[in-house]
Amino acid sequence: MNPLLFQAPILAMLLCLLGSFLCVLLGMIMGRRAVELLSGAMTATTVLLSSLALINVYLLEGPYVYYMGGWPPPVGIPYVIDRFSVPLSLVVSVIFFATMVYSVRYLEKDRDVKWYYSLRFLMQAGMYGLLFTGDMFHIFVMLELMGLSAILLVPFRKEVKAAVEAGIKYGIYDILAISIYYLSTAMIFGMFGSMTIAEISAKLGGYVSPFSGGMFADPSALPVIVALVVWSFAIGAAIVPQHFWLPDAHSMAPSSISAILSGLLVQVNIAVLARILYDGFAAGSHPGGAVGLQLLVILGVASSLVGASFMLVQSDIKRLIAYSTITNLGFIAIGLGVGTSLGVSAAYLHIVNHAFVKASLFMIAGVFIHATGSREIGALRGISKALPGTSLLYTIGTLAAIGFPPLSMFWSKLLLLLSVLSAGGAYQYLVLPMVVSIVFESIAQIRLLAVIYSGEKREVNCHPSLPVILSIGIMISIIVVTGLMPGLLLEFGHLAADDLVNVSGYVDLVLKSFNYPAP
Amino acid sequence: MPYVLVAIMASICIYAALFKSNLFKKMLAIFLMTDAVNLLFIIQGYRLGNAIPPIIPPGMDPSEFASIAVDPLAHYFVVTAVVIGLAEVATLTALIIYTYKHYGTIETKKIKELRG
Repeated sequence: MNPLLFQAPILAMLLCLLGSFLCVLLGMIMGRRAVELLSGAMTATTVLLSSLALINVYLLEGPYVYYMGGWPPPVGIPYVIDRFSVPLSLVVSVIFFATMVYSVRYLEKDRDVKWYYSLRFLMQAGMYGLLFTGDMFHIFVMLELMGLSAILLVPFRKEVKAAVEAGIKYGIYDILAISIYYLSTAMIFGMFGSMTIAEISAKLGGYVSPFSGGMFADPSALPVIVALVVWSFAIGAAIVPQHFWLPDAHSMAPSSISAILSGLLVQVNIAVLARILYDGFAAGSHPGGAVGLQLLVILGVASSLVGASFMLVQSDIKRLIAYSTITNLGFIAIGLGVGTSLGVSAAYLHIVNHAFVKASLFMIAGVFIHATGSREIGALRGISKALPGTSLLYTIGTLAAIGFPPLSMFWSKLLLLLSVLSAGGAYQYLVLPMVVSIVFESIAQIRLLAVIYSGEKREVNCHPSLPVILSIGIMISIIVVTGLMPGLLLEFGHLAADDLVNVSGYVDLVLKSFNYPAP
Repeated sequence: MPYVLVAIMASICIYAALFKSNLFKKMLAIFLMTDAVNLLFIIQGYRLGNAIPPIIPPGMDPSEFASIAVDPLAHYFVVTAVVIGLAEVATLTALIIYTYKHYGTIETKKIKELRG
């Protein structure tokens, strides 16, 4: 296999770690222009590397496992480069690139931007690690990497009172969530004697490892561990009732960071949860793991309803978009929790589509806030006459968010509803709360659009510069193009769901170096 | 018995982290909880009786060594978590200092700029 293609996803991650170091160094020696050039070039390279990895996995070699440091699992840390993780890593790269282009002009008036770019790189590295890793303890380390940099980026404008408050609130709850996850890893270690995700599900099926033997304890206590894992990731992914930090953190952060937090961070959290539940605790077949799926459905329904109803009463544009994130995360949780192959692929597509839509909405909201100097929805009256291009982009983004037919999120929402209906049993009644929250969300978003298009032409403080419009344009064009090619989209979702739900395939892939199944 | 102690410690810490109103106490509770988990790892890796440290003595048969040595994997986890804990302390302390500069207090009940 071509060594560059083979190493591309890991190179992208290492490049981010290197970039984080170099940003601070260059910022001290040469000033901000050099930092911006360097981080721009490095983020562009990560996009290239992720695309190479995608081509490799889809067209050339198929899924494979990268052994970190050459140690095969369960001794070392496996990086599972499969059709579930690689497309998500490309989404991460693209959104980081777009927000990179956006932040150069957006943060013109801020000082100390070298720390901003450095922390952004750390967060990107953490996301790659989380998506690829096949080791429970490595997930803990990468959660810290991603979480701590996000916590420090929320109050980046530290002279703003409310930003610091949002930062400390997010900090306390996110670190608590990670500590709870750490507790659950200790319990997993006690029960399975191994931290490799593939070995955990293999041991639940009766596999005896050449290193750690079989199960250390009876799996009847598994639901406790599953509940702890779901709890910790529910805080990270802002699923009701652990959502209270999200509207504050996402609305007080600089808009380029809100786009990443809302478009990627919560989605990465829920993708990792799906990986742990399906491939680690064998949620499809083992009753202990299935508890996690039922929890996800219940929390998802609550989340979509609460998020959508709070959207109706918001007067701050960024808070409105933040509550919309909670609603959509609820939909994703429902799709994952239903557990059918259709449900998982719908949830996967919703993760991808929602990432682009929400990131672009936050980026445009940043432009509006700069132009009007206010976050209130009422202040946006007449903005469409002053900034017609940006308003048009915002309209496309909003229509995509409420699921207007040819745009990308229409397909994933349709698939989610279909998957719930076809799941049968009590699950088919979930279609009612889902439709209610879709309607609530649409009302709130269309009300915002109506404000933008009403009123007389008004004065604005500044017009968005070309790079800002360009970066938003990239995102919006991705939304439109993916919406026009539903066949390709469905194919991606189907293959990703296959790789996620097929536990034995995953275990074979990761443990094949030790002749699994052992005699 | 040690497991019960760990469980009690972890539950008290989660309670304190959620319901204490002083930010510094919340932070301490979170780190005490991490320490409780560290203790859990150490207990799981330890062997009662004539256990030896996980360094293979010269001339000893590896399988005999494996049957009496304590588990080094648990130590690895704890060391990693302690290092990560340092980063957490630094982050949260910095944020608490900024909160105090802006609001003049670290009681969450008196900080009411935002409504979650």
